[in-house]
Amino acid sequence: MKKFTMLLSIVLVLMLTLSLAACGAEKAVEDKPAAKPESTEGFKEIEVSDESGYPKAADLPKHKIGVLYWGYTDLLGSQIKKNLDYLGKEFNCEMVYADGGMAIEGYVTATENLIQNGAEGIISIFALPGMIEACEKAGVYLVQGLNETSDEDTLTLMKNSKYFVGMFTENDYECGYTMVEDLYNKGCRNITYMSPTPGMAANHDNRVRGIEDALKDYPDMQLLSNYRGEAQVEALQNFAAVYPEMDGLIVTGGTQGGTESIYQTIQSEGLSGKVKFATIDIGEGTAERLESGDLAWIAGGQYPTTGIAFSALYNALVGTPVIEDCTKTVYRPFMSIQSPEEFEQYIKYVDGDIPPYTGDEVKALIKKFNPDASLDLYEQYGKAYGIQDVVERHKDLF
Amino acid sequence: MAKFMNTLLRTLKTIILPIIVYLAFSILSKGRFGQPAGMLTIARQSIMPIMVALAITCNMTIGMWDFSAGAVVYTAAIVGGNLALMTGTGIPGLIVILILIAVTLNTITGLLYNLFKVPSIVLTIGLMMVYEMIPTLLFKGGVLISGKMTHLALPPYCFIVFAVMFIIFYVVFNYTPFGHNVRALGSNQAIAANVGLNPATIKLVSFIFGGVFLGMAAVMDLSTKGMIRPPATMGSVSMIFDAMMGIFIAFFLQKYCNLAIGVVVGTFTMKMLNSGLVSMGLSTTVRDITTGLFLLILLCISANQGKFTEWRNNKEKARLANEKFTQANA
Repeated sequence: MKKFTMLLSIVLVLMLTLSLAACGAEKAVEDKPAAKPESTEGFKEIEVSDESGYPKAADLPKHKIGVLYWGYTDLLGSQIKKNLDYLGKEFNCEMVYADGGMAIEGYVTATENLIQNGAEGIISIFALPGMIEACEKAGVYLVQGLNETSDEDTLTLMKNSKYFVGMFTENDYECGYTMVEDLYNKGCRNITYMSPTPGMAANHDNRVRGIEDALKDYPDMQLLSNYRGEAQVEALQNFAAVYPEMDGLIVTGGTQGGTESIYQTIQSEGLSGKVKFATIDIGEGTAERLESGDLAWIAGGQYPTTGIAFSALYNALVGTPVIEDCTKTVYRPFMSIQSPEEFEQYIKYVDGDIPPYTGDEVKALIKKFNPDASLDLYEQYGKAYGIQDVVERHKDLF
Repeated sequence: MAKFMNTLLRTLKTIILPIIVYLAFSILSKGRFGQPAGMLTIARQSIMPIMVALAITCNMTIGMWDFSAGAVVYTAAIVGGNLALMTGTGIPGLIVILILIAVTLNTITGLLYNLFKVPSIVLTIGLMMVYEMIPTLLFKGGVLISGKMTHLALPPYCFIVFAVMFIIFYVVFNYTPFGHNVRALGSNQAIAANVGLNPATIKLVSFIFGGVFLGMAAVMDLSTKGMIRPPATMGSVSMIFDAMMGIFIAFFLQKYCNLAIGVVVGTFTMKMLNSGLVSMGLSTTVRDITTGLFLLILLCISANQGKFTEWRNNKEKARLANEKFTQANA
């Protein structure tokens, strides 16, 4: 026992020493740093022009807005937070973030907590019946962003709710279809795809529908296998073991580090140079993968959609709702990136210091500030959205 | 000659399950499954679950469940990975730091187990949730390594790691007093205690020893995935299922082979089963159902091994009694 206690003490002392050394040491030069500390630095302050006529933040009444998303530590999550923090400042709103996690079971509780916390409106990736009911009961507005709902019963609840504002998301079906089309055009004929468990997220299900429909339109492209679940790294390892002819891989989303894990698994399974990868959600290492050619197609730039959802919520809050039928989703396009050059542009104009929609551009969607604001204007914003659109609108700001 | 035949027979009995799985899927998938390159990939992918399985083998032999093992792997990988990056110590740093963290966490588990004297299943489920929160508190963004630091996941390094760790386990489990004590405690705790063994110390050392393998499992997991994010609540538990099933197969096989070899054979069989189902082109749902059924059958057989033997013995006794009765009547 004495010997054991001594051994244990040595282990604990070593542990402490190493931890202290680690905290004080210089950063390694050779190896990459830990996941880029997701940019929480915020966007550059953009001066409000007097010509716009929109009120300044200080002149607006204070509101408290709750945000409910998977999490805010990965790239997309941190972009969402950065954008909403910026809009919070522009609109004099206090943003309260709740981490919903990957399991939808906790979203109702998180909604109730946000309501208890004084939120007057909530932007959420899910709109579950329990959430709609809780918001209805508390008189809190709810908007769904970056996702939509297709369940008939929930849609009926939404329709009958005074406080459900609407749904804003990317055209996921089209995106799924495009991924197959792009891989086909790049010569892939034997592909696999992976997506979360069916029914977990409507946006992923819609992407899968797009993939399946595109495969019907390209009969000479073979779907070797697919996987619907969360253990995607293990699934890819299995594909690598039994499908040596696999030349294309589609993953319908990679938030919470999924994209980075797939990049690494492609490398560790020896698929680099053999398999072209198409996915959604930009992650760390995207530039390198585009450069190497492993990554054929990636979609991103969706985070401003939460800002657009915020504007619809704000419209409802100030008594000027613009969405008449809250069960009809307002679709917006993804930004697709296929080359290092496009990615460079994306980093500069979409993920840089200037938000893709400035405060004034979002204020233009508020009917109280702009009487011309309408669903049409929302749709115009959506149709025009793309890297070139951002470059064009913000050329004077760079 | 008889000894050789006996060894051969035992070896055959040991590898019969993986051979059946291999042949079944090779035939059902019309040759897609079972190609040498594919089998090598499966072997490589088995290394990480084998590490986890070896880590909890001693505990399970003694009759202790360890549901916190997956959380220890996550915590070691995320916290240790970040520390290794900060110190710039490369792969050696990665190995040392991750093992130290895993050993520390497992030591805490062992100490608490002895202190609270609550069933291991209850304690480790509680600690699993605590350990899962550590990376969220310290490194919310997880860990991302790349380049040279991931080389341990690639052949031949991954096989070297496996060989070294397996030898360590084999020697410790079979040729040291600790291994002997674990087996004695696993056979009958009361007798072991009566002959002077200290169950509390053995259990604590068992957790510490397991920590070394969990640390190495974390190294292999991080090297393979490159990026690991903090798990959701109880999200780490799935990591230990393949390992646990491997151990159940090993318990089943230990009549014919050494437990350490059984663990490797069992875990490899589970990996083959997963890949085999993929090769048959089954949907995810059917694959999950099939895996579940396979495990259920396996568990039923494993849990009732004694009953099968008893039934066979009773049958034999009845046969002998009948023979005697027939002879007496004749």
